[in-house]
Amino acid sequence: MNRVSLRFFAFIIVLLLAPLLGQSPCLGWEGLTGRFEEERTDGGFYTILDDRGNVIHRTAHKLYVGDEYFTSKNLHYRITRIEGDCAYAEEVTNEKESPQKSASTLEALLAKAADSGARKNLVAIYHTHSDESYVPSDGSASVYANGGIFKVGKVFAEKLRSEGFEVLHSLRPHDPHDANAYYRSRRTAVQLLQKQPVAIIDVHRDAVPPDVYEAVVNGQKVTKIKFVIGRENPRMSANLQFAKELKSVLDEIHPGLVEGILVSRGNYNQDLAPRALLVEVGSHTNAREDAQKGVALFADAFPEVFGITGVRPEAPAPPTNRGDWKALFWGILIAGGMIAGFLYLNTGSWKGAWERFLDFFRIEFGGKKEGER
Amino acid sequence: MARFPIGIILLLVISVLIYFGIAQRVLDRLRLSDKAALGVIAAIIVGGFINIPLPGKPRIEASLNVGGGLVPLLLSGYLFLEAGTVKEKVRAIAGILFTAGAIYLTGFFLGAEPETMFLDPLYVYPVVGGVVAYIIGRSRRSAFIAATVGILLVDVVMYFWLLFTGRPGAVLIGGGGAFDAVVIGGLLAVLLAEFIGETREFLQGGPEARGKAKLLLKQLRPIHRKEEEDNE
Repeated sequence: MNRVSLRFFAFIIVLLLAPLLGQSPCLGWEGLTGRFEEERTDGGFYTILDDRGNVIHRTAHKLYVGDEYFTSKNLHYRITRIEGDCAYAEEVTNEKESPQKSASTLEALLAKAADSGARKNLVAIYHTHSDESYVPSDGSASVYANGGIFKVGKVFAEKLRSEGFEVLHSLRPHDPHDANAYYRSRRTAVQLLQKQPVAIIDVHRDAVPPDVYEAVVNGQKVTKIKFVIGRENPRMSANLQFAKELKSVLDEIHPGLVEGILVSRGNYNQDLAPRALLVEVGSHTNAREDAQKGVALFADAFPEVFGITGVRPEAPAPPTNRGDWKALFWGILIAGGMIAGFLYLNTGSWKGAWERFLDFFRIEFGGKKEGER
Repeated sequence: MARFPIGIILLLVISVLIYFGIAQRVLDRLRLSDKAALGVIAAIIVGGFINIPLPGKPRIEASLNVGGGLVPLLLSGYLFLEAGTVKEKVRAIAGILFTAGAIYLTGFFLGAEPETMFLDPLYVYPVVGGVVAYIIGRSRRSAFIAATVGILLVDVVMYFWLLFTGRPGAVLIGGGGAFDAVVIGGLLAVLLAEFIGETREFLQGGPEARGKAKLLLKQLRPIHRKEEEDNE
């Protein structure tokens, strides 16, 4: 085996081991022993702090440098340093302006065309972690294949129905709660998406102390909600825009309900649809009844965000689409970059790559035969 | 009725075009004809809506999706039968077993939450399948076979685990249709094998010609034929 081959195989081995090496040392042993581990219930969680040491948020989600968090006050932070269970974040921009904007004429025309189509006011709900439960109400943080989270989902579905939506609520279990739970729930998500819902929501609960999500909104004791967006997802911008739209409406009608938006590693099946969202409704330490009240308030944002007429008296605001354009731009850029890189490797020069690229069109559309010069 | 602005419509249309465009080129690389490649893609899309129920128990739901499971399985079978030599077939089978094992182990080592992982399992599995298949088979066809059947095998193991233990759960093999990990795994594995192969050739200044059958070298670019003649 020559030197290039050896170097090459070393590269392959590193590539193969990378997923394992990428684990934090403090989680390594848990990774080994906790294959079917449940949510963290040992009281352990991660705290996000700003540069003055103020607590921005606490979460059971493992955090990494580059993760982002949008607070309830629309302050946008990016994590720059992590020490133990503390994540230090820097403010990126102040997103105080409302994401709502008026539609252009073309958008309005297309919206009208979409209105007259076969799409229903359909919202899909499922639960990747079907064991997630609430200790004070369900007696345990995890009930195999029949978690209290199903009951939270049911309340959410009923409230949406009363708002004028049709709802598909999947009660399919995706247990065990392991690395493959999202791989299994992906099938459920795709099946639900085949019915063409306008949005698909994966309902979870967090695993932090109760005070993080406790709130009194419009005079009733509820748990707050948090949106989670996956960064390893080509539709991230569109999903994030959707979360911001929902938050913007909720900040107006139910101030204090949304704890924030966490943009973290992972995909969460959000590459499947531009209006796919993971929502955390309270924590395992909160009462499920409070989570049910919180999720019912969350449903109130949907009529306005999706422009459902006949429910709210004022004219509905059309959805914004800045995130969709951004996702589109990145999708085309990444696909183009990959094709260019591949052709470069294949031909050994940029000139050759360009010729090969032109050849594709000459062969497919210009009548040139393969192998012709 | 809910409204869809132009951005979202374009995003949906273009992402579907990119995905299936790449899929068509990948199948083309497996030496399927253009029409056959389009036929397979059509079968995957249409078959994505068809589920064949498998025997289950109360609260155990099991099915085989035609587009995401059966079509990739049949295609793998076809590619396996088309494999040139016994050696290639043995390598393909070894690739399947190693991929399934590697995916199972990867799932074992990764935590339960995607954010704790280096990369989402959706992308880890094709990478594992592609790399293992390349090391063992060094061919696009075995990369495709190893990744698709390897991922399917993990599902089959899960199915029997559920039946054996009687625990509630769902195994919808290939249930994601065209967007199932099985299909994405097969496509990405071929692309990865192609990328690794091309990078290797690029680093060493061309394909390895020494000790290769003349029939194989015939297909290479003139420069390599010259190199081979020089060696002789």
